[in-house]
Amino acid sequence: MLNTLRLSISDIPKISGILQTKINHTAQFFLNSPLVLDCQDLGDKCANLDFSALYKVVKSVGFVPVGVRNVPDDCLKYIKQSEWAIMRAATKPSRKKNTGKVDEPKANRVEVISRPLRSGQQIYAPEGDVVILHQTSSGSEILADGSVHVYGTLRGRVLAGVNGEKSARIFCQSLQADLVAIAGCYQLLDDADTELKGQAAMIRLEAGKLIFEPLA
Amino acid sequence: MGLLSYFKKQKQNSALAAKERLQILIAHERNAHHPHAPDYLPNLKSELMSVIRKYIEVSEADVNVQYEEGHQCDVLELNIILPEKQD
Amino acid sequence: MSKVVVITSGKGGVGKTTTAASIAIGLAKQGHKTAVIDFDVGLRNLDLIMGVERRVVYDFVNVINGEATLKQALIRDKRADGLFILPASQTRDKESLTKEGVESVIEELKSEGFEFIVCDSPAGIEKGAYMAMYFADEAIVVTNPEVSSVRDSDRVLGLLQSKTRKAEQGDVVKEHLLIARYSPVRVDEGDMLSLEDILDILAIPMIGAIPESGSVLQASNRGIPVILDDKSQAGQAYSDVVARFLGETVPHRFLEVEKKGFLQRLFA
Repeated sequence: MLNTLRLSISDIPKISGILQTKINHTAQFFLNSPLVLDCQDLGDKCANLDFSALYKVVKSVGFVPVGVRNVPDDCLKYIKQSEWAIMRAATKPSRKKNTGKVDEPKANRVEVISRPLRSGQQIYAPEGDVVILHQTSSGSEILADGSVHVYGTLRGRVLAGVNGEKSARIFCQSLQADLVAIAGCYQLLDDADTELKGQAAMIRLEAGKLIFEPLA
Repeated sequence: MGLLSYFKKQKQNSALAAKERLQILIAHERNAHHPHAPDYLPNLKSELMSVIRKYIEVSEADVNVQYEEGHQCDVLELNIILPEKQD
Repeated sequence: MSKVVVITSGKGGVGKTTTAASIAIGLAKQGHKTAVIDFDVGLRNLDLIMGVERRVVYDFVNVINGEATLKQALIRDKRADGLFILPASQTRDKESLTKEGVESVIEELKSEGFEFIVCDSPAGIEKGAYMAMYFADEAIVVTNPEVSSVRDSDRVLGLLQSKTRKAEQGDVVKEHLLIARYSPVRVDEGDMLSLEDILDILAIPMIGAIPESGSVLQASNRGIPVILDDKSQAGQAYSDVVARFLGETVPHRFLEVEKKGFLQRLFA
């Protein structure tokens, strides 16, 4: 478990007070667990923050101070003078909204449905994929933050990457959907220029266009 | 054509049967919606309850209201079981 | 062991009540003590189809509200031993059906030794339909070979696997498809969905197909469930359905276009 302390003020006594209250509420829960500072909201105010003093405060309430992330480049020197490590973003900042809560492991959750999806039924897989081992009916709706796999006839509406994930894909044994969408880019199958209707198919998004490919 | 007309007649018979059954049924149901139908019984019962409770302590289950349709007259039957006397 | 069977469809007018009446009679004729309950409170019809409309004194809602005992409300069928009919109330609405009330009636029927409790569902997916399906162990979904009926049946199949007690317990309601008003001639002419089309879309096992037949209308006109008309194809098809429901293997009949015989050509 890696805890994140998202800073919005640079006043050490205040931060100390808030941390102490938090710890009191949850007793042993945070004891000896690692803590990362996030300075995204602090911005230029980083210059006013005494990182060494904060290090001591964090340690005194029972956390193990680890590092600081999202520090403006011109403030890096303040960190270097302190005990904190600098954590650089390895990739682009994640699209996920930072809620200030504990970060969960980012492995995809997979929702497996082993019954036919009937008209009027809706499946939503947040932060993951949907696998349907059966057919789906006209009037049903599948939504997934990730990809959608249907091991049967796909009818109804199917929306993959509903949170904007452009790499999401749709796979099915027999493409008879009414509507397909990936990352908000949707198409009625009737309007789609594809020979694959009724056949095993994969749909992906490329340059803002849905590409239909046969599934060998 | 005797055979054909026989089939035809049978068909009419079933429609006739349907009509007769419906006439009886619908007449009966309209009757049931007459203001004197037992529809008012629940209200009557609860109003009676409040009056009786002014004088005697009885529970809902001890009051029984029944309505019967007779040939000559309709009967409204009211049964109240009074609580046993306390020693 | 008692089994609760719901006859449902979503769409109205597809033959739910006709099916409930015939299956109930068929089960009783096979020696099984059977009760058939009309859940269409406010629009009762089962009594008419069963021909017992003049024998209704108390109804389902009376029993739920404690205004009559179950024994008083059950109407004994005179044509099939061990068959009892619990009519719906015509003057109340579907809100009178409470989960607790329905459960208590079903439990009492079970304790009275009824082997089959057939629940005739109202059309739609409102409270009456939910109450009819909630306690079901098995469901017979009645469908006509027509697009809106098939779609509604699909919707109902979804509800059966989510809004029933079995589903809530992580169990599955056993599904049967019954196709009513099937006309092989019109399928042959290409104007009617075929059995294969419907089965492909709904993907549940078919317990039978009832051919479109004038005898069904005649039967309801007279209040004699069509299964008792053993000369009619529809009646025979319902008998087959009952046998299959009881676990027998019976080949499907009346699904192909008949070669017209001399007499039929004469009357055509």
